[in-house]
Amino acid sequence: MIVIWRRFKHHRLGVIALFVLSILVLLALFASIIQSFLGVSHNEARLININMQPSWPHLLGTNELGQDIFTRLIYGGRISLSVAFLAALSSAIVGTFIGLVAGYYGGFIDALLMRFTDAMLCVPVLPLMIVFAALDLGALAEGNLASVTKLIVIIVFFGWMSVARLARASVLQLKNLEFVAAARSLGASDIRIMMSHILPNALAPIIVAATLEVGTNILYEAALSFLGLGIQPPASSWGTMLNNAVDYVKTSPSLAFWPGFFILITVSCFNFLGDGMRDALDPHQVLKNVK
Amino acid sequence: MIYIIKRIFSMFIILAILSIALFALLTAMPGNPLDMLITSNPNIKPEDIARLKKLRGLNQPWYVQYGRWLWGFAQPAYAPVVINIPIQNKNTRINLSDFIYDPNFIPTQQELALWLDLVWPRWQESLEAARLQAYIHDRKSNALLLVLADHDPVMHREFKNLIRKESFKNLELTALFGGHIFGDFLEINSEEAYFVIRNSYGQQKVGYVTTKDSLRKNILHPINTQISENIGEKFEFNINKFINNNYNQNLYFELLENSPGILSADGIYQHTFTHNGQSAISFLVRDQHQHEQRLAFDIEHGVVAHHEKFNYGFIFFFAGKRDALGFSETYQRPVYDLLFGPEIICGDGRIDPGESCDIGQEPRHNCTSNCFLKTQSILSKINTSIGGFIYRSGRIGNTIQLMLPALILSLFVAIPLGILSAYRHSSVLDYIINFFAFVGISLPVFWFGIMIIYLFAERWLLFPAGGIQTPGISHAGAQYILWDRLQYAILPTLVLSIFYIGRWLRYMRASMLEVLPQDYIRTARAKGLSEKSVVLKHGFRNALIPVVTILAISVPSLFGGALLTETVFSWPGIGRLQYEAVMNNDYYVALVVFLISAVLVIIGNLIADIIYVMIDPRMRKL
Repeated sequence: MIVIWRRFKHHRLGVIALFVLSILVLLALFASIIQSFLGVSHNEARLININMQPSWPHLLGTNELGQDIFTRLIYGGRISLSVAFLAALSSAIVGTFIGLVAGYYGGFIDALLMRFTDAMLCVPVLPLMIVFAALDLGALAEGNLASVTKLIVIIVFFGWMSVARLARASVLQLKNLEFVAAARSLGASDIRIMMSHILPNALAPIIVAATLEVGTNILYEAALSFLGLGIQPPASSWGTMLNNAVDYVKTSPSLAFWPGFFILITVSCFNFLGDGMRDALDPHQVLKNVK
Repeated sequence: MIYIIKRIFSMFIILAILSIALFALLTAMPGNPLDMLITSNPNIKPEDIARLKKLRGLNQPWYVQYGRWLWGFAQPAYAPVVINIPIQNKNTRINLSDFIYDPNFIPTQQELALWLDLVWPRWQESLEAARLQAYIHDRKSNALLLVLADHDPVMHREFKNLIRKESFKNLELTALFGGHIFGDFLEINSEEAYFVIRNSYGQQKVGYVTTKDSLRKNILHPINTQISENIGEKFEFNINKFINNNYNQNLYFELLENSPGILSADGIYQHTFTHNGQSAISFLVRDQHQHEQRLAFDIEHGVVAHHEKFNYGFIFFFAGKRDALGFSETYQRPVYDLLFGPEIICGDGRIDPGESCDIGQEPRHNCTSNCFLKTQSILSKINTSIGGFIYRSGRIGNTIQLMLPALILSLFVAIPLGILSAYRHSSVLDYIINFFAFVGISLPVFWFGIMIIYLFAERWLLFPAGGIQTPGISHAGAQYILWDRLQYAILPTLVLSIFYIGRWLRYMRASMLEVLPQDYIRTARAKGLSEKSVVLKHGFRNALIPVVTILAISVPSLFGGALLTETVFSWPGIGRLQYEAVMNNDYYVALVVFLISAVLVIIGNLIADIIYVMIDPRMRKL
């Protein structure tokens, strides 16, 4: 662990990204405390405050309904980040499972699963996501967060492929090594070999892929919400804010600027972080770079 | 070779599975294609809905619908016969202001409201007051015009004249050849005429009219019926049934020369056809205000056997039968026309490239699922100029016009930068390039588009904010259309290429980094080759192989980027069509667009395989 951190420290942009991301996550976690500290409201429409310039306590001004933009951003960050995190986690799990099974058993199962993966990689993701988002998946969840759950399911459905391929590639390398043969000769079951022998050794690329996936997921979430198909009110994310702000671009461009800026910063940070983690977790790459 | 055949064969299987899955998904979406029709018409009765549903097979389960669609799709046929209807004689007077649109003229909100008060004093009490208000607010004079046209052609004309007068103050007209100027009118005395318009600022434009153009202007609302009639029997047909006579005006009909048969003044057409084929009947309709309109319809009689030669290329062969791809309920056009076809002719004869008409602008005729706008094919014959080619390129053409320059531009930027960045690995330059590449891949395209629109179109007024060309510019001539479309294309191309640059740069850099420490590079250096030769010939060529793979694989994501860019810039391309089709439950359009992008992806992979062989001699042995 310490070794990894030491290697990671060399990637300056990665460290900065980690720092910025922790601030963003902290802001999102403590959104309600910050809101009560500032004494503003992220969802209450106050007609006196419409379209205010940035000032104290409205750090970034207010929107067309008099809601405070800064607190809306950090509340929106809660939704955006949690959707992206949960979707990346789930797609990592799904992808790892598929990759493990395909790589370990090989043969027909491998061919079937990998053809399916290839087919999924070939389809135009965003248009299909739109179709899925337009479907009435009411059975999935009820209540305010129904749209959030639906969105996570959709993103996972289209997001597991890269992890599956990486996992399969690592398994193919690992399954012929001595320690797997040793475990098998000791009578370990397939599941045990996969879970406790192969998986820990294949984890590094999966973690990197999942980190990069978080960034992509934020973009997908924002794109769908921007098209009006993602997060539905009362929940609001950066994409939804952007969607609302488009109508007011002429009069108050800052409304559209901030959510997109936050998306940009967050996604860049996840990409830098993923890059840094790749360098830290994959010693071959580092050696090559040093050479 | 066998490999390629195998690939193409497997492509069909994939496409079949994909289309079934997609169709099932699309039909599972709430709503159906008729919804648009029903919601836009408050007077529609439940039995009408049931009838329409039955007509379109929507009452069947989805797999039956899919089978019907597939059957229609699988029927190969050639492009339909196009008949040029000679209804115009050479000595024609043409009101020039009908042909020229001043793109710089946008009336203010107050002016629009005042004008509307003039022609329609009680417009604020009308059902459409909200929509009209919205158009005034957005200063959409064209849309306003067409709403008016929906109500009353007289009102429409008045309003149009008011606007025109304002915009064509102090115009100086000169005829170059082919005609004479009388006031605002140009009298053409040959096939085509050229003229010059000069405004008070000294700007001038050369205009061009042909009598065929006036033909286009006059067939505003073509009636397209496919009536099969037996030869030798007396054929009788009431035209009134096919005309949208909203105000129950008394209409008078008159058959034009070159049309066979007899047409009585109250609209009963009679004729006995003696041969196989198709006839175009053109006639004049006059209302009590003596406003005239030329209309036309086609009649198929007997067995229509002759087909025009096939001239559209391979992919069109499958789509050769224009209704084989299905019919779009939202746009009231065959999907084929929507994708490949020339533009739609809107209510006032204005042509929109690949774009649907605004509400109230729909070509007003009773469309059945068999109906298509035949005059458009006539148009496509007329417009053989470059401008004509571009502006009738259809949705797919529009997307290619956006994507291809963006792709080329981004490759031209990304590949050299990627090589440079990898060559000067770990230098400050590398860090900077890498940083910007990361920002590029993290950039939300839609947000960037909005910001660019705000800066360049709203703030600095350098480029138009959205759309593909100035409405009405198609009357101006090829060179103007080119220039006009270029202005519209710059911003979306820029946004899209920034979306691409980051990705290609990353891939190129990573790939070069893999290659540069290889032994053969060291050998090349040791041989004493120049750095340029080492990097470009030995390094770059080997680094290109994975990049080509990724280029091929990422075709689908290119579509995603194009979808967002097109939506933000209201570019009438295939991505936006896809989005709109899904939103409007327009199954056939959505399905066809999906399949087209899937085909492109598979072809992209195939091309990548072929390029491999070209750039990597090792592959040739396999």
